[in-house]
Formats: sequence, structure tokens, C-alpha cells
Amino acid sequence: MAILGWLFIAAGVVFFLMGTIALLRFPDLFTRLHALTKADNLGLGMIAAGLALQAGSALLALKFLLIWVLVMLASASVSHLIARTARHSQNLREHKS
Amino acid sequence: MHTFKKNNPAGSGSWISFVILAILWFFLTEANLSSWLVGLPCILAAVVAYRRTRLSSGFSIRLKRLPAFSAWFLWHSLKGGIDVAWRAAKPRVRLDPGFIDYPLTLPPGQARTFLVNVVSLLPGTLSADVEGNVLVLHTLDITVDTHAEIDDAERRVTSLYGIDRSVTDA
Repeated sequence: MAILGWLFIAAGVVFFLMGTIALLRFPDLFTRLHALTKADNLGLGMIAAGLALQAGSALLALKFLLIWVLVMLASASVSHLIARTARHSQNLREHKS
Repeated sequence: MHTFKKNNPAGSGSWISFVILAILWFFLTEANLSSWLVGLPCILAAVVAYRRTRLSSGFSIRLKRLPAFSAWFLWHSLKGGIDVAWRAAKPRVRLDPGFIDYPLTLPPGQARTFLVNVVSLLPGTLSADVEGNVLVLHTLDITVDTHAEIDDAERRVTSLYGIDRSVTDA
């Protein structure tokens, strides 16, 4: 269980790293939001799963999974709001010019 | 704006959301008693916010269908994460981004909101906006047939919420 947990955590760290690299390398706001919503959520999910495997109590394990679900919910809504606002302000600028 | 009281005189929806949020808080704080000092006001504020912003009558999900949906969702999250990681790892980032319009068949409400959020977590797609009944998507690669994938996602959300397709298509 402990070893499997560490494997999950290591994989999660890799996804966080790749998400950050994507954030730096992707060309614009929208593509960068893809990097955040996908790679980082998967990274957090794997770290949460890894910690849950090592938790030793069901209550604590459930808590880690819950944190993942809540963060995922927040990041999906927040990235949607950022994308929508960016799109609207882009449209405004095009209308002005 | 304030017709919600008439639709739901008993306010049972508020109680259910109160209980659900209380259970969430219970797990998050590992049943720490003093944390309710912060938790209780937050939960009450959340219930009030929920009552004020709720769209049309709520659908509820079919718990029986949740495991299959979760499995599908986890698998696609994995694919989405690997997709982004892979694109970032290549020596040259290859993207062909653009916007796509997707006409929604789900009516406005909980199920639609849920779909819009799920789409953001699917590989290559991000919900940018909802204009009337059209979902504006941003995609990392417009050469991929995104339409079929979103159609599949919409079918799964529709089935998860137990909504009759023939009603929503009308």
C-alpha cells in the first residue's frame, strides 16, 4: 500500500511539472487554461489517491478524495470564467478597432 | 427573481443542501468540533447563495449510474492530462487551437452546468462560453473531431441525470 501510494504521488508530481511546463510553453491564455485544468487536476488527483492509500483511516482517505473533487470543481468553474471574460474582452477590442 | 419560494414551499431543497454541505465539512475537518465556528456560517451562506442562484427545477442524478460515469470520467481525465503533458514535452509545441460551436440539447439547469464543467476536463476541450443554447468550446486541436466526443459526453450526462432524451430534443 505504502509503495503504491508513493508511485501515485511520484506520478502526480510529474503531471504537476508537465502542467507547469505547458503553462510556460503554450502560446496564449486559452491554451494555458487547458494546461491548468487538465495536467494539474490529474496531478492533484494522483497525489490525493497516493495519500489516501497511505492514510490508514477511511475517514482521512475520504477527505483526500473529497479535496480532489472540490478542487476539480473549482478549477473547472474558474477556468470557464477566465475563458469567458477573456473572450468577451477580445470581442470588445475587435469591435472598437 | 424571488419566485423560488413559491416553487418549493417546504424548502426541502435547502435542507438537503444544508445536510450535504454539513457532511462535506464533517469529512474535511475530520470531525473537529471547534471548526464548526467557521463551518456553520459558511454553510448557511452557501445555502442562501444556492437558493438565490438556482436555475430552473433541479434534476437529481441516478446514483446507480454514478460508478460507470466516474470510471468514464477518470479515464478521460487521464487521457486529457497525458495529452497536455505530451504536448508540453515535445521539443516543438504542436497546437492548432480554435473555437468550436456546439449546439446543446440539454435544457438549462443543473445537468447542463455539470456538462459544461465536465467538458473543461475532457481531453483537448475547454468550455469558454454558453450563448443561448450554444456551447462555445476552445480546443487545442481543431483538426480532431471534437463534436463526436462532446456528443458522447452529453449523452452520458443526460443518462446520469436520468433525463428523457426525447423531451430534451423537442
